[in-house]
Amino acid sequence: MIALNAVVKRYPDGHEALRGVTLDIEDGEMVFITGRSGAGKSTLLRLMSGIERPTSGTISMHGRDITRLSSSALARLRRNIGLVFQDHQLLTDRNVEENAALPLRVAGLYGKELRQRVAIALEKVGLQGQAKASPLALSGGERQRLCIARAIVNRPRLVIADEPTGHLDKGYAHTILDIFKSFHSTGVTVIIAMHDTDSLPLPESRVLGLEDGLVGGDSEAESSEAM
Amino acid sequence: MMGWMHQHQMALRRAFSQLARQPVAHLVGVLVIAFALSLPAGALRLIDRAASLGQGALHEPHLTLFMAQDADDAAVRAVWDNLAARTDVREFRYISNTEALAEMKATPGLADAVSALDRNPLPHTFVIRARNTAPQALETLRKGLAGLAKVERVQVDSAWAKRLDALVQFARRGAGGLTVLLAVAMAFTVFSTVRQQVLSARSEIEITHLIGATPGYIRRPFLYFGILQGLLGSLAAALLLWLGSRWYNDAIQPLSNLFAVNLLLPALTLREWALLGLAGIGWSWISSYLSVSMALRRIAARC
Ligand SMILES: Nc1ncnc2c1ncn2[C@@H]1O[C@H](COP(=O)(O)OP(=O)(O)OP(=O)(O)O)[C@@H](O)[C@H]1O
Ligand SMILES: [Mg+2]
Repeated sequence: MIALNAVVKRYPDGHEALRGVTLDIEDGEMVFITGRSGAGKSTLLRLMSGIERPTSGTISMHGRDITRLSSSALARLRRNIGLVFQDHQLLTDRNVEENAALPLRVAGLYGKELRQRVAIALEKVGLQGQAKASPLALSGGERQRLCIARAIVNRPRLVIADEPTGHLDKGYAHTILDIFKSFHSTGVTVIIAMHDTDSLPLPESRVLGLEDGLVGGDSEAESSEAM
Repeated sequence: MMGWMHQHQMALRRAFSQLARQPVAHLVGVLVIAFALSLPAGALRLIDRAASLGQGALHEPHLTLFMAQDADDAAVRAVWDNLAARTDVREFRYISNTEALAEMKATPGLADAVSALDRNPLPHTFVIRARNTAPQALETLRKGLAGLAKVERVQVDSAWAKRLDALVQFARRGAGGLTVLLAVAMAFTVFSTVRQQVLSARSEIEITHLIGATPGYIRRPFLYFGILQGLLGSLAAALLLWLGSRWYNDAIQPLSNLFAVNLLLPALTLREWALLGLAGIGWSWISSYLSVSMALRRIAARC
C-alpha cells in the first residue's frame, strides 16, 4: 500500500536526512522503524504521512503518488492516517476530550456521533476517567495514550507513530505497544518509529533499520529478495 | 453537506467568541473601521450636496452681452448675424435699449427715477444661451463674443457657480485622498488584529494542520473574524453617518431658511447603505485574507 522509491530528503540547510530510501509496506503490516537518533526516522514518517515532501523520489499510497498532491489534498490524506507525534502536539488549553476530538472536528463531525467516537477512543486507551482533565494534569504515559486516542478516533486504516514509548519506562512502553498491537490485530497497518530497540516486542514483527538516511536492514528483506 | 455547514457555523461562533473575549481591544478596531468608512462617506455627501446647489444655478446658465453706448444698428446687426451663425449658441434674445428702458419704467419704484433721465443710459443687450453649459465652454464662448466690434462686455452669469464647481472638484479630490488614507488605516487595523489572532492560535493551527486541516479550514475562523469586524464597523459607520447628518441638518436648518436654499442632507438611500456595508465587509475580507495567508505562511513554512 505504501511504496517509497529512491526517496531523498534534503533540508533547506543542505542536510540530507534521507539519502535514497526504497521500501514497501503492505496493508495490515506492523512495521518498526529503528535507528539511532538523527538517523532520519521522524523525517521518514513525516514524508509517509504527507506532512513534508521529499526532495526527490516518489511515495505512493495505494498506487497514487502523493508527492504531487496539493497542500489541501495532502491535508485530506492526513485525515485518514492516525498520527502520533514524537513531541505529542497536544493543546494545553483544551481538555482531554477536546484534544481527542480534534481530528473529527477537522473532518466536519459534530454532535452525538463525535461524542460517541471520542468516548470509544478514550476507552480504548484507558483514559475514559480523565475526559475532562487538562493534558497538563496527565502523566507522561497518559499523555502518550491521549495522543494515541486522538490518532485512532477517526478509525484510520493506517497508524503512524513516532517514538510513542519515548520517555516511558519499559513496563509502560509494553503497555503502549500492546495498545498498538490490538489495533494491528483488527487489520490496521501500524508503522512505529523507535530508537530503543530493547523494548521491541515480538521477534516476528518486521523491523526496518535506518542508518544515516539509508535503509540498513530489513527483517523481511530476505524473503522479498528471494522472490 | 451538514458537516460543511457545521464547520462554517463553528468558525463563525469562534469568531464571535474571539470578539467577545477582548471587547475593549476590538471596539477600538471597530471604531477605526467606522471612522474610516463614515468620514469619507460623510464628506462625499456634503460635497455632493454643495455640487447639487451649483448644478441648480448652472441649470440654465446664460451670457449677457452688452453693446457699447455708441453701437449703431449695423454693429448690432453684425453681432446678431454672428450669433445666428454660431453652432455653440443654442438661442439668443435681443433686448434693445428702448425695450430695456420700457421694462424698467414698468417696474414699480424705478419708474420715477427712469423718467427723470434725459437720455437712455442703457446699452443694447443680447441674452445668450449656450449649447454646452460646461464652465470651460461658456468661457470660450464669452471670449469669442467679447472680441466682436462694439461689444462692451460679455458676462457669464454663473461665475459663482463656476467657482463652486472648482471648489467641489478640489474637495472631491481631497475626499478621494482622505478615502485612500483611511482605507489604508482600516486595512492595517484589520490586518494587524487578524494577524494577532492567528499568531496567538499558533500551536492550534500547527496541530490542526498536522492532523489534516486544509488551509481553507484553518483560514476560515480568522476570515470570519475580519469580516465580522468589518460588518460591525459598517454598522457603526452607518450610525455615525446618521447621527452626523441629523446634527448637521439641525445646525444648517436656520441658514437654509435664511437663504431660501435647501442645504439639508437627504436620508441615506438603500444603495448607499449597501455600498457602505459592501465596502466595509469587502475591504476587511481582503485585508484579513492577506493577513491570514501571510501569518500562516510564517507558521506552516514547511508545507
Ligand atoms: N527541519 C529540519 N531542518 C534541518 N534539519 C533537520 C530538520 N529535521 C531534521 N533534521 C535533521 O535531519 C536528520 C534526521 O532527523 P530526524 O528527526 O528524522 O531523526 P530521528 O531519526 O527521528 O532522530 P530522533 O531519534 O532523535 O528523533 C538530523 O540530522 C536532523 O538534525
Ligand atoms: Mg525522531
